[in-house]
Amino acid sequence: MNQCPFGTGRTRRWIPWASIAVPTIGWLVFGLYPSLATIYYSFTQYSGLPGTPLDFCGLCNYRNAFQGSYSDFSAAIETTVKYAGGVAVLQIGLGLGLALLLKNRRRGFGLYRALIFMPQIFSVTVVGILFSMILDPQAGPAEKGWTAVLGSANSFLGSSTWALPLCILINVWMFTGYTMLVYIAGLRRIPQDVYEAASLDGAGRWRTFRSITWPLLAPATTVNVFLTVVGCLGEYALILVLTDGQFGTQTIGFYMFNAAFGQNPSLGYGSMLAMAQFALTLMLGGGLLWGLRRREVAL
Amino acid sequence: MARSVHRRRVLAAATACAAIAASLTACTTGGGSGGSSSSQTLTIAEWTNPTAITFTQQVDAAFEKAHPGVTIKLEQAPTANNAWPTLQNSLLAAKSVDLLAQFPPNPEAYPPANTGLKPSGTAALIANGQFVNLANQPFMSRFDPTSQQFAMGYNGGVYGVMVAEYVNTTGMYYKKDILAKYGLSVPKTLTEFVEDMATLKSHGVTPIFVAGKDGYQNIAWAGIINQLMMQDKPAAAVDEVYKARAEAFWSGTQNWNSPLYQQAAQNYAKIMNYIEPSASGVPAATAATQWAVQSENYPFLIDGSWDGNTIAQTAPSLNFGFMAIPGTDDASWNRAALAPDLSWAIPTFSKHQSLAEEYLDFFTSPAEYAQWVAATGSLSTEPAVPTAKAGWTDWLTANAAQGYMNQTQPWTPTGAPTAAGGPTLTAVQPFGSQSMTDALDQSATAYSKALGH
Repeated sequence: MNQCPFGTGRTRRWIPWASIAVPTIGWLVFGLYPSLATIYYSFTQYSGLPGTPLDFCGLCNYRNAFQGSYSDFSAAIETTVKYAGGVAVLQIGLGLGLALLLKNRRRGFGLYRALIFMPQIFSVTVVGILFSMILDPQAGPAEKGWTAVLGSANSFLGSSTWALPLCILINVWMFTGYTMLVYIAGLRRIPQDVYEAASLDGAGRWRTFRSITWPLLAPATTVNVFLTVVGCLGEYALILVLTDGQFGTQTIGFYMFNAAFGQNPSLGYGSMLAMAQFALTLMLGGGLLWGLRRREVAL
Repeated sequence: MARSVHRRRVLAAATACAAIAASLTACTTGGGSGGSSSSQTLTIAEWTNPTAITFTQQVDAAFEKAHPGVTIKLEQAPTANNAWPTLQNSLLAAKSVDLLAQFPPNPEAYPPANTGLKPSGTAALIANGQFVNLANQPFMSRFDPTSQQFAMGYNGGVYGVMVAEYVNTTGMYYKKDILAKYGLSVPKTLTEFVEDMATLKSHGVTPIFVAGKDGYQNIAWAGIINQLMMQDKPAAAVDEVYKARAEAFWSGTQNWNSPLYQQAAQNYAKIMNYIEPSASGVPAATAATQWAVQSENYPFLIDGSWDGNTIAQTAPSLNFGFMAIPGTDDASWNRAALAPDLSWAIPTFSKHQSLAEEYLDFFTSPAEYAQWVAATGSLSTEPAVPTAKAGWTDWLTANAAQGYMNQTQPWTPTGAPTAAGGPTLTAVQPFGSQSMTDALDQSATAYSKALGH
């Protein structure tokens, strides 16, 4: 006979309710209320500073965001999509390559895997400062190497040409280890006899990868692509430390943070940007998830 | 059973009374006005400027010594990467600060009602009654009322005390020994400046250094605009000039591609031809020290006067000076624009307003204030306290009095593109690929669209 885990009598009635009450209250206070407040604030000119009025203005913030081709909003969306796309392609490619190289349980491979994963455990601030020092155009080693090889100067994170690609590469350096681990887990789940059958049928390495490994890694690819893209769509911390949103690196996340909490804060406009970021994440993240899951089923 | 319940209720009531009494006692102790028997914590927040922070800590210690029972808690954050606004906003939201450093707004930060615009930042806090009016405080009589009114004034009140003022836009340092080495005099006009730089470049010297990563080239750009706008008008005309500009922009009779800005763009481009090519990657946090240690290169540094003492401390043997950029070809126009800086404000929610006012009285007493001015390199805002002299302040000492308050930006609606506030200099040549003419046209279009012209 099964014992009820919540005891008997009155305790049996209220303990389950009390158990779900705590997280529910937490969600209401720290999840639902801020979300609803963000929606409401996006229709106001509220600065966010204490004592200042809400100033309901209807769709004014949304109108401002879509008002012209020079809008910071459209530029931020474009930068975000480039950033997320660049990171996703490089990180997935590199993570997969490293996983294929290091999937086996050989001596020394554990150390390599740990070293590649290590940047993930550093805080964004540490990584940002580290690369700012490496890429300092006056005192950094990168500039000295660049000048020695190419004989010209480069301002790296202060260059409109280089800043965004460098931010993408630094992000990839930080998180490729995680992508690699997900792929290694996926690779180890592929049965060996499938490879043996392919080998008996005369399949070469490329054919085996294209027809067996890549299709059977579809669930791992779904996880990696989804997490990478969604993470990049909300990126602001690394950008803040590396370039402060200058030189064509202002993502929608950074723009939102700056508008809502900057020197002259406008929480109303920032909330509208948060809504736009949510919509972008829903569209791109949701679209990707739908497409990738369909691919898994089809395979 | 009934007696037991009753006893428990009595006990609970007694405990509650004791707790209330204890908390009331604590409130009384904490909310006193600074007598020797009270224990109070005065929370002060200031952005990180190493010399200013060090001095503030010294004042805090002296104030604590003079006010037994008072403890001062100093909160600080750097201005870079939005750290300071974030700290400031969280302290304000939590109502947990008694004295707050502010970058002062100015009269144009309060757009007229017909624009439909609301003040933002510090101006919004002042306009909504979040800071105490200090106009009638005795210590305010130590200061020049006009500049205090310009910095923190609103509707006849003064909502902070401006204790620091620097040359911001128009600011430039120069290395005297390099100029002397090549037989050059300190330039007074743009033509002389460009000729000097051409000579220096012909000798393999890169003429100008700047913290381009943080947009300090704006010091030159906005400085030239200042000089072209003010020309030889008296400093007292500054508010009128800036207000006329704001109204002209708002009404559409002036825009970023008007002749004054075209002229400013030409002058700016002439100077930028001689900039260090990789300067756009140099952050403000290290630019002054990097410039200071390279005694044989970069004779000029575009930077505000707040870095003078840092340069002197980094390279004590460096023979350098400070001056206003010669941004035009009329030497009499090339004056310094003075930027009101750190201003102390007391939030109306502060529980220690009297103590905060006592602190300001202490801080601004001539003896303390003279040390503050010397430590920070700030221009003095107290007429009775002279601006401290250092090796690099000779030009400043002689010419600061001819300076005028820094220009303000035209009014722009919330959410207007960055370009509506003027060209994005990091995207403009030599740092970016855009020409200044295109950038001005882009800004003019963005401003017009933002206003629906």
